[in-house]
Amino acid sequence: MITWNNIKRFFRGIDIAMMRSEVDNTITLDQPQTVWTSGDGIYARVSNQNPSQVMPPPPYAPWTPEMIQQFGQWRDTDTVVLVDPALQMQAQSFVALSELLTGFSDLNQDPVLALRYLSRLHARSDLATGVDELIQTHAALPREQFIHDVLEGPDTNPKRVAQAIILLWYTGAFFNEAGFPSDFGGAKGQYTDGLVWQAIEAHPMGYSAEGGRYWQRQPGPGGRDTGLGNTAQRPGQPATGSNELA
Amino acid sequence: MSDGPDYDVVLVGAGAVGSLMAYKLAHADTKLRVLILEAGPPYDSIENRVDAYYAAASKTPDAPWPDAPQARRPSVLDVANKQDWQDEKYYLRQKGPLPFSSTYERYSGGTANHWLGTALRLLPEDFELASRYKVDGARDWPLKYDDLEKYYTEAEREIGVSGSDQQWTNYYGEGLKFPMPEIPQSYLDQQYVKKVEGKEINGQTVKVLSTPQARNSQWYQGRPPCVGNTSCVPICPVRAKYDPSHHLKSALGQIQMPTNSIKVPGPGEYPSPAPNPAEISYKSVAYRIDVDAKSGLISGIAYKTWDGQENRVTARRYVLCAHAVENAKLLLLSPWTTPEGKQATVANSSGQVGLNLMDHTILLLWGLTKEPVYPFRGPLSTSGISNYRFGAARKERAAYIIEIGNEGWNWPTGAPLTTVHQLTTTAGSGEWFGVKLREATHQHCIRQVRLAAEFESLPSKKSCVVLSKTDVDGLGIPRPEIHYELSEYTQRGFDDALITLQGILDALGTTEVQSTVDPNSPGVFTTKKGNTFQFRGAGHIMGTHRMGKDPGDSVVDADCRSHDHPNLFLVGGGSFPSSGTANPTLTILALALRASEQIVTELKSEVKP
Repeated sequence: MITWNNIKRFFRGIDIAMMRSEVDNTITLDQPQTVWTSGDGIYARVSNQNPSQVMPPPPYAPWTPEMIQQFGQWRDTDTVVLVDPALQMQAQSFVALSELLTGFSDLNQDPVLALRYLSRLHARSDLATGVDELIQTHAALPREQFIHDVLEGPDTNPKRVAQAIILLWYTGAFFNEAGFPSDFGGAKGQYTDGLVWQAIEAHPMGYSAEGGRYWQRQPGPGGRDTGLGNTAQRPGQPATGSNELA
Repeated sequence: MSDGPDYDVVLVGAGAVGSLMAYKLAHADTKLRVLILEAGPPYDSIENRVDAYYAAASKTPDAPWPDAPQARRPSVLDVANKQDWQDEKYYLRQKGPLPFSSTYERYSGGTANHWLGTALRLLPEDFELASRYKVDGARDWPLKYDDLEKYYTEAEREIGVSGSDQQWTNYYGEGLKFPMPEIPQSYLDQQYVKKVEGKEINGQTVKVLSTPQARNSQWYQGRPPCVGNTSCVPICPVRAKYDPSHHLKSALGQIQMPTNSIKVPGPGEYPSPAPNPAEISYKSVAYRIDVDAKSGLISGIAYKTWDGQENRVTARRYVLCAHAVENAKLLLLSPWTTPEGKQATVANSSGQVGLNLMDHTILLLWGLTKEPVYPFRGPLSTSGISNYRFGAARKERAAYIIEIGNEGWNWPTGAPLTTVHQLTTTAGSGEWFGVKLREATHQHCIRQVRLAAEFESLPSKKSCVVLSKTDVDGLGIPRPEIHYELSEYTQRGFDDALITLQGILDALGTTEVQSTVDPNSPGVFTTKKGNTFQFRGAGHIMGTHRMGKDPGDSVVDADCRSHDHPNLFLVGGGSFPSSGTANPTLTILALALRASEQIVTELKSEVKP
């Protein structure tokens, strides 16, 4: 199933920023509804063979045929498909744990990302077993008991695993012993997905989707003037399901 | 034709200088045959380079740019660790006593791929450090600011500089007109303006200036305005920051960015395809310069392609623009017997080639403001303080410029990613995860500030590039060996700047001010005053083939022409006899334009159309 979670990654920060601030400010490429509504026009531009018409414009590379095909498929559905419910189910228990650990409450909106993280955790021999155990105990225990007995219990291993999960969501990276990022997941990694940027009212360095000269202003509500673009939440204020400790 | 040289001009290096000179030569009103030898591969695509940056574990200046065994380059990580910085595994063989901490790229576009874009001119007094302030060991330039002014103006137009005419007229003189209005100062800068500007700090009334930068504040030459990606070093994803590919593509007759029908490109015409396109040979590493014994003129350049094949090319004029370290290496690789019968190397009758290696060494101070300043937004730096760049204090200590960072503690610590690591691994019970962690991360990062003082260096024979006697690169070419130290003059600058930077951060309302010395870093020294500092490189490599009036103690003249070989030009930071405090690229480009003009004038009378 092709969802917004797949499609949104076709638009780079530069596409979104340049479109919004320099080309056509009615086209906000980080807004699924707008992209879907403008789908025909976007499809025409990304699939255009004429170098003076195609988007993104040269010297940026045009979309691959596979991206164009997937975009067309997503556009042709009757409503905006944001999330694949089957993937959401699959990621559910990991996402629930991750929301507690990260302090972000909307992680279930992107199961594609969650499952990538889970797969990267499973690929690590020092973390794979611990991650599954942590997911299971989190699902089995009341929240307070899980925090008290497991996260902050006498065995420090769960804390180590939890920190790796937190860092992965916040930065897209595993860290080395010295405390520096050591692995962003390769060329199609998750550096730009890190939650830290939302948390600090900024945007990933090298990925700014807002456009305009936003930096001269103080960041505002709804992620305005953070450089992130419209999808940012107001940092420090999770929308629902607060994990605030008693 | 068959008896003549292969080309009119051969340029070694397709970086900032090579690209701009090729562009000027290819647009000359005489048809010139121009070849560029580039050690690295062609620029593949901006997406690939940006993705390489995203994927890189360390977001260092070299992160997006590939390394290759045949065209190796240094990385800042090479000198991160005092256990192994002198190890042979690193391209530069560092012999100390201190690590040379600046790097360069060997890739199409060169080091200007990863430059910040700060486009400052040297100040008039920077050309006269020796005569004006009687500084021991200092050198005057063989030209004055006024001699370069028109080339500065032209360079600013070529690369597209955004700046405030009003703020910089006092420094540069009347009639100043930047091609574009200034880049807006960040919210963070504005807090400095509010709280620090006008304060008396270490003998100066501080003025916070918007920095002239080769970063578009509006559409210019077909390139878009800056949208604040905060990754100028090492890569601008929108190419609002100038990089040499624009002039290179034009020089090669290729259109870089066709006019997109949905957007008017805006003022500043995009460099048009050259009427007489230059040629380029990628993956071609020059390793020897030959001299005609009778005339003393350069007679050819030998180069190896990455597959190991040896080639040779001839021309009327030769320009080495491979940056200060590689220029010196290539000259030192090329034996020459002087007319007096002395065994020397090319362009080196003075013995000065490779000596006087300089950088703008850097002191960082960082802290947390009481009120949020919201860093990690906008270009990496949009403002600075120039009060300490000039004046009689230079008799005693190095001048320095202060750069205000927009990227929190990213440079010294790797924030904000490392901030999360720090908080989750050290916070107490109930604090290291969840909403508390998120809030702590927010509170910390929105208050992070960082200042850099960048110091001038003095030329010294003890800081130099020589050839390694033991190590070669993947093509069998000897590698550069670096000897480096900091003069007491520069060290006294550090002592003075510590007071200044602390004063500025105090006035801003900053707590937890620090300049923590990394116990693993080899780049640490203690001044006579007893202060211990960790210094960093600015990436400003200067001084290995300095210009001067006296052929006895300089390598090139004011046109960057070799004193020894009239058809050889050495253009770049290597030609600087003193460093001043301006980021060197704009001056390098001004020198390139001056040399281009000279070469075109000469060749016009030599080359038959």
